Amino acid sequence: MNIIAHLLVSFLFIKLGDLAGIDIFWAFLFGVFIDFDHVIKVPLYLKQNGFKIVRYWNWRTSLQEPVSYLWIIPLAVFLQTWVPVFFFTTHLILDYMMSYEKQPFYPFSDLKIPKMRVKIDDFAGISTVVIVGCILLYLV
Amino acid sequence: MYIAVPSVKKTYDGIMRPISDLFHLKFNMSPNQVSILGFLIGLVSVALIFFTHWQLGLIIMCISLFLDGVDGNIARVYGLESKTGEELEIIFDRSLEALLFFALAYNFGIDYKVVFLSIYSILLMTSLRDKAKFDPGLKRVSLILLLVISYEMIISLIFFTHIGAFILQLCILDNKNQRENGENTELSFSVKNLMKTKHEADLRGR
Repeated sequence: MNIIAHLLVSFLFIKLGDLAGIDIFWAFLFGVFIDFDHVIKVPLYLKQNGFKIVRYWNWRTSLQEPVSYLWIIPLAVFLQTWVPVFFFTTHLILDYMMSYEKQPFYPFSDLKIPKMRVKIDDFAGISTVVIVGCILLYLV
Repeated sequence: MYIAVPSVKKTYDGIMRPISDLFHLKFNMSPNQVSILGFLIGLVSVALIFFTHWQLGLIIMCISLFLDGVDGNIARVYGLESKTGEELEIIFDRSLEALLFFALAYNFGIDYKVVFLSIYSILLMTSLRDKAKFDPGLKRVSLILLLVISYEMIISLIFFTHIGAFILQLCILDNKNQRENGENTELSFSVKNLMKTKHEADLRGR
């Protein structure tokens, strides 16, 4: 999902949950900036595609798959806050609306959720931005 | 002791060679016997820490750590590496770490929850260690820092180090997976399909 949708959804739940202080930092970190894992894939992308723009290239890592609950839940217990788990879940739900192939439990399992036949990525992205944007405008 | 970098492993084996010779040739000990000896000495250090002699316990723990390095060295140098030996070492290391962490938590009166989380993070990292060939170390050896910083800080450091290591392992394996199964772009799929279709059409045409 595009970064604007992640940002808006995080804003919405920060507003609804009335979060403050360090919790806002955790909310953005796990709701939006977890997407920074894409940077890890830059060398591989350049190696495979050069400077061509390739749509639907798999930029995601296991850091954005359910397998990451293995480290996010203990981290949340350590920090004594539910915020990382909740905002990571929102990020995950939005990403799972996308059409690309997913490997939810890699490297512990090779189970794959195949690509969707119909590409709804753009539609899902735009509709999420519009709906969440409208709710936020209403709340503010 | 786990060393993934071959050059470091070679240098380390060279340094440890005289000690390994002493244990293997002079005392006629196998790597597994050295592992068991190291584990038993580690148990003595746990007992000492539990009964409030933590400084002495740490010194004994260093001897156990040293033997932990010797067993692997004997195995590599004399070609005695085995699956059982590897498993034995993991079981001994993780058990000793858990016992040491709890003994210290009991001694210094800190929250057991943090100790549980640290042990969990180490186990999590261990689960992918061989696949990703990455282990940050910093488990028992970090307890030496007790001489300068509090146990609570050390155990938190262990937790964050191993959670971080697990994240890194996930990234390493994910990159490796994508590199090996390179056909994961829509473009490569479509171009490949296009070429396949063209090839089939050519064949039919002939």
